[in-house]
Amino acid sequence: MSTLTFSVLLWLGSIVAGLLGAMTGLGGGIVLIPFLTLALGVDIRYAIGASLVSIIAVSSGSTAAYLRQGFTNLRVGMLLELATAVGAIGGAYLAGLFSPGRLQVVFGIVLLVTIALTNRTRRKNGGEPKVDPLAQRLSLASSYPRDGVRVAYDVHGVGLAGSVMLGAGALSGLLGIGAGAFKVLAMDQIMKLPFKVSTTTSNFMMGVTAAASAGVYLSRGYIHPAIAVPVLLGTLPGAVMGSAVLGKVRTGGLRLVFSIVVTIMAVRMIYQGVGAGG
Amino acid sequence: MGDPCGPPPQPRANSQAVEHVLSTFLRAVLATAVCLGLAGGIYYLVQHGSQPVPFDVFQPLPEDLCSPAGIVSGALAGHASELIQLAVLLLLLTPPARELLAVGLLAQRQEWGFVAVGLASVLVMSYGLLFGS
Repeated sequence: MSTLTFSVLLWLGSIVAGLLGAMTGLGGGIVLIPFLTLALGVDIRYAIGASLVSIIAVSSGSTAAYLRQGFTNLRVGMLLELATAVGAIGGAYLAGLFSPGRLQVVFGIVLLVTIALTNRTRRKNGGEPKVDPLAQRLSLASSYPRDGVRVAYDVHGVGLAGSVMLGAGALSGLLGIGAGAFKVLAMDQIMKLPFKVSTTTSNFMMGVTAAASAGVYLSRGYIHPAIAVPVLLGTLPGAVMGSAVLGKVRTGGLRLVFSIVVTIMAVRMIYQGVGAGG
Repeated sequence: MGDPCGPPPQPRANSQAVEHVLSTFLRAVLATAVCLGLAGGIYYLVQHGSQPVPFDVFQPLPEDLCSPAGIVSGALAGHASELIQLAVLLLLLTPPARELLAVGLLAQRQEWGFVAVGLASVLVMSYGLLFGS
């Protein structure tokens, strides 16, 4: 395959990855990495480097919009992204110890867990949880727009959520994904943030998480310019389109199709990784 | 929690100006990175478009394409690959720059706890970039 054909195919694939990633809230990495490795035959280390580029692009692009809309909790994001960044550096170093086959197997397993988390039943409104003194001390409580008014909310479980973020960051650094499903889970289930605040704050944090490990990958020569540029130029418009149509389409059916496709890709990656000696 | 539809807490009001500045900054940097990437990408395809892709086997890139100094000097010399890497580098620097901007704005408000947290995040990100190899 010529570089031109490869670039065009990857650009189109990146648009789809950005579109689906934005519409499902999972980022582009979990589509992009299987597309690069399974469809285009790219070594997973190059794929991870390219995926981190797409994550930063999508995170920066969507954060610019969400900050203006007032959904993102800046303080919660700044606090937790320190944990994810430390985890990401650790994960990036761990990646150097894994063979490509083993990385594919781990990636496939994490994809399956991600899909399971994404399709879980949302938390039910139980009794009001105990007030978190740390959240109070750091003034993490805020408000978000709903039906034309700002609705106030409290923040809980900061310490436990920070621990989960450390793990999510390590997965992000190891596999080149945003690990958004894990971050949203921690903010939604543990910190009891409104769901829209959780997803947008997760998006805000993803850029910092990815940047921490992307520095390691760039230094090691994993980010190839010929792969990075179609990804950068494709993911961004895809994510913008996805964000624009998000409120106008029903995503239930799309999410189901997306889950089935990602599950098939995960199984194929595990199979291929085991075959490669993973 | 109190009245759920009551007036927003004070930190929210304080954050709004910070969020507006950060949002504008992100848009500007992203637009610059896309323009650089587009220029480098077209130039790269003109030079290498007909060559076969060698990505099935991993080969670490030359040092010039992996270090900030090599990337900047190559881009200034007009090399396509380094121009693309400069766009990537700019993108990679967006989160730490965004964090520094937030730190500066929060320091003006004397929110020292978050200033310390933000600076720590910048240090971690810089470590990856400077000592990652």
